[in-house]
Amino acid sequence: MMIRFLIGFFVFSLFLGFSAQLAQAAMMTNPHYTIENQDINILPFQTIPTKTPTQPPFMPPPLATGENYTVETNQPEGLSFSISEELIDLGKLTATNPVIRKTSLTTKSAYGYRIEATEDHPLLLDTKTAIPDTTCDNGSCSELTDALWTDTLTYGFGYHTSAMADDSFKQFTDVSKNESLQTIIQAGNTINKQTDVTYKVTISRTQQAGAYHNVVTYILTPNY
Amino acid sequence: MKNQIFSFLFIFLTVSVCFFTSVRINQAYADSISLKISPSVLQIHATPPAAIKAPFTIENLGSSPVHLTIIFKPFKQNSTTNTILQTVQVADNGIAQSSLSLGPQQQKKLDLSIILPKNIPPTDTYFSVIFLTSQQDTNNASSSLDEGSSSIAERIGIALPVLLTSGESDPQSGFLDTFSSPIFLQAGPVPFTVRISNTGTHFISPRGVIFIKNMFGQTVGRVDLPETNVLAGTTRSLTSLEQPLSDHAVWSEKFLLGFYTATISIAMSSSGSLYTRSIHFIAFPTTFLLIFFVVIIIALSLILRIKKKLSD
Repeated sequence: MMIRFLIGFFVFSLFLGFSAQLAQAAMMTNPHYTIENQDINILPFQTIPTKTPTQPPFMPPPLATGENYTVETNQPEGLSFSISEELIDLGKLTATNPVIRKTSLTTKSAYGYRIEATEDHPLLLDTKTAIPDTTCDNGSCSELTDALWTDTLTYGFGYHTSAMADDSFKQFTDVSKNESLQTIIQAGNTINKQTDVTYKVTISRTQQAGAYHNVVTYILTPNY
Repeated sequence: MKNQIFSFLFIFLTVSVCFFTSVRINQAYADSISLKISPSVLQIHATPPAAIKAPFTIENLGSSPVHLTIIFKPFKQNSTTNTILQTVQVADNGIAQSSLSLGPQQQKKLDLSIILPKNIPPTDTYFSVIFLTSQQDTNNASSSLDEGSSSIAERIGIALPVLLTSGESDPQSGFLDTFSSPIFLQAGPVPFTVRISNTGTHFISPRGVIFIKNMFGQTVGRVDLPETNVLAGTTRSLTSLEQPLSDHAVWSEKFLLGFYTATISIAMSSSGSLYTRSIHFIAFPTTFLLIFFVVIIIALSLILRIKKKLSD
């Protein structure tokens, strides 16, 4: 029964398809008028081309206009940047006793951003006595490369972020050596994203005692 | 006995007061700093001569006052950058500022003032206005440290990128350099490489969308490419909003099967014409189907064995 219905439906479809495609011109006449029909081709299974849907162009109003200029933005939402402390107290440094301190950077950006960092100079006691930037356990870490630093007999100053492997550290770029800012964090659109930067200082027995100091600068730049 | 209790209480109170006082001193420098700037980017289109005033807002979100130093830093240098940068100022109510003080929770509306001389050639200038917390604040904080204590002072800065075009914009200078994806995939997500080249002398801001159709012609996916600035003479990858750090625009669909067509529609400016290009890719979950066939073969062999045993 079912097979008969399917065969019947198939034959009917074929008939419908052919009859639609082979529609002929028709003509009606009488002494007063003549009506002519042109061929009509109806293709029953032809796909209808559709216009690719696109969003209407987003045209926010300009921020300002004046004589010969227009100021616009494609990032109207602002971005914010916070740091948990403005001074990190390392206390009195003692030989082979690592000091680890954490600072938190919080950002809010709808468009993505990067944070660049640099130090004004290594940790300095006076103009000559410095705690050098760490080169890590195998001497391979730098401003660009991080490396493992767990040995208490490896001395220096470095930082760690969550983007690095555990117990890995890097050096800050040094303004006093004309080194430019180095990107330490990159992120996408975030709402109050907190990133921790961990500082580590270890000194040797021969390091002169005293209050060492430097300034680390963080600059937030949106993805423009 | 009474005297002993009194002496004990006196010593206890003295020690407690000393302890809490010292803790308060240590907490005095542990203030956070918080800044906000809006908008995040300024795009300026000008025809020389022009005296530009671009408004923006800076806010101190913290509970302590901040002192900010204002720095102008070009991020792409050309022959006119220095000439234009010499005219750039941040003005508060029309008065030029080289530094700024903001009270707790204070917001300031400022203007970026740029003078574009008449003889400047049609070119772009790209620079950042950086608001950097002053070293004076950190010096004040370090004075509260114990003698002999080492310290790290921290400064934060927030940059406002400025893209300045002098002369008429030419959106025709941008073109779709690359639109590709892997030809064969086992599963999603699908990474599309979309690279826009700008051969002109002015920045362009293309935006677009990728529609993905399956082998039956049904639209099964959409990836929006938000407006992105492509600087003059550069090529830049467009990314989806969800994956801005990747170099790709990503269609996050995981299960894929069959032949797909991805069509990109991209406009080089909000008023420019639309460019389209299509690519194809095939997705076949080989591992999944292999497991499926192995299971079927095992099941069939078991059925056949049971049938054979039953027939014996």
